[in-house]
Amino acid sequence: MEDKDIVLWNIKESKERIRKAILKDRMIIFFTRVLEDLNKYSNPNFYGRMKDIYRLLFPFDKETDPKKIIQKMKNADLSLSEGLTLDNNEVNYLQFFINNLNEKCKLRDPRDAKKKIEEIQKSLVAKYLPSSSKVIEPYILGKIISSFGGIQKISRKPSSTVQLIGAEKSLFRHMSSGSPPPKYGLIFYSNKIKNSAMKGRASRALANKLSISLRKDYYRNFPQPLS
Amino acid sequence: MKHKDWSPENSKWKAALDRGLDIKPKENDNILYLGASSGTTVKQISKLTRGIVFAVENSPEMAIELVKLAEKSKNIAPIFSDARDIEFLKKSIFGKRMNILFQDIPSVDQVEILTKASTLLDSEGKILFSLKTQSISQKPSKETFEKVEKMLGERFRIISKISLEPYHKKHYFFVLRKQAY
Repeated sequence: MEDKDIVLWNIKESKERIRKAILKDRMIIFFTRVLEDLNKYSNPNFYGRMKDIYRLLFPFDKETDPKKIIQKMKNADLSLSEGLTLDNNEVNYLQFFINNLNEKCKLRDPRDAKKKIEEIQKSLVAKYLPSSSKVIEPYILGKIISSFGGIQKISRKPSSTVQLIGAEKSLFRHMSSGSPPPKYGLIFYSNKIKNSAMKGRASRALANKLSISLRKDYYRNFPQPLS
Repeated sequence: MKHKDWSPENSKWKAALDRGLDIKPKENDNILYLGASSGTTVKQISKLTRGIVFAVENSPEMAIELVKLAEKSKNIAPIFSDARDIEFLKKSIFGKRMNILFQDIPSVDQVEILTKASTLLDSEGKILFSLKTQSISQKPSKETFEKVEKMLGERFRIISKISLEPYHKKHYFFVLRKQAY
């Protein structure tokens, strides 16, 4: 084989392997973040989020202008992407979101769209994280995963870490100055803890269950890294 | 984007050159580069040689940048793989003679990775090894350095060693050769 062919073979092979390394939890994170935006602001624009999803689907493209990215996303065939592989349902979900954006990259009617996006997020979580979604509400589960940066990372952490995700500030305050330690992080917003009398104990029990079920989901439903 | 020169703060190889080591690739050298990241050093090295630079990287985000760089230039071959996976590396270099092996992987088993990867190297080839003592042990830097030096001495012939101190903290740089040569 000549030098040129070796280089081309390696580029092609790396692209294929990178494609396999991008996991489907990215879709859950994307829709959770969209929901977070919608909860935080009345009618936000989604230039940044569209950039994120564009980088996932077409990682080797060099386009940086957000307006051109949206044009490309509207015209592109999402099932034939270079990056993350989507099935038919997921293509429909994404296309619903993209087609609902107007020329200022805001949602046309945020109230109706939010309901639909909530459903989408719920169904994605139920599909890829079936046992964890029985333990905790899908929106909070998505928040925990998105704040940690992926299912692969979180599944390798102990349950005490899962319990305190989102309470980093008070945890480090406790470590440096000896103030009382935090009992719960993002997990607090689950109804199971809100309604219970002993919140600290409940959050510990919930985190134990959650960390076990997250591991179960990761090793059952996601492809393991190569080699 | 602003053009960045090859600065010693960003590159272990350049820092070693600035500290007085004379190790540049010759014209037709093939290089196996473990731990390429987004390709700051690989980009500069590929300009100095006409052979192929095989750049190995394990993180998808960084490997995407590396593939983009490889598409622009002609002699960079990106390999998205774990550096410990020798079988796959062997498959992707297609039996080319490797003249230089460069390793910059800050992990606990960096010496083991180097020993494994050196089997791919030509018997006359040079090994350039950047050691980060902090990722092996939290003990004082010099203690770990002496331990590693002893380990390397059993497996390779040490040509020269140097500290990269002002540019990279707790980093050392080795030039090695295979023992049989």
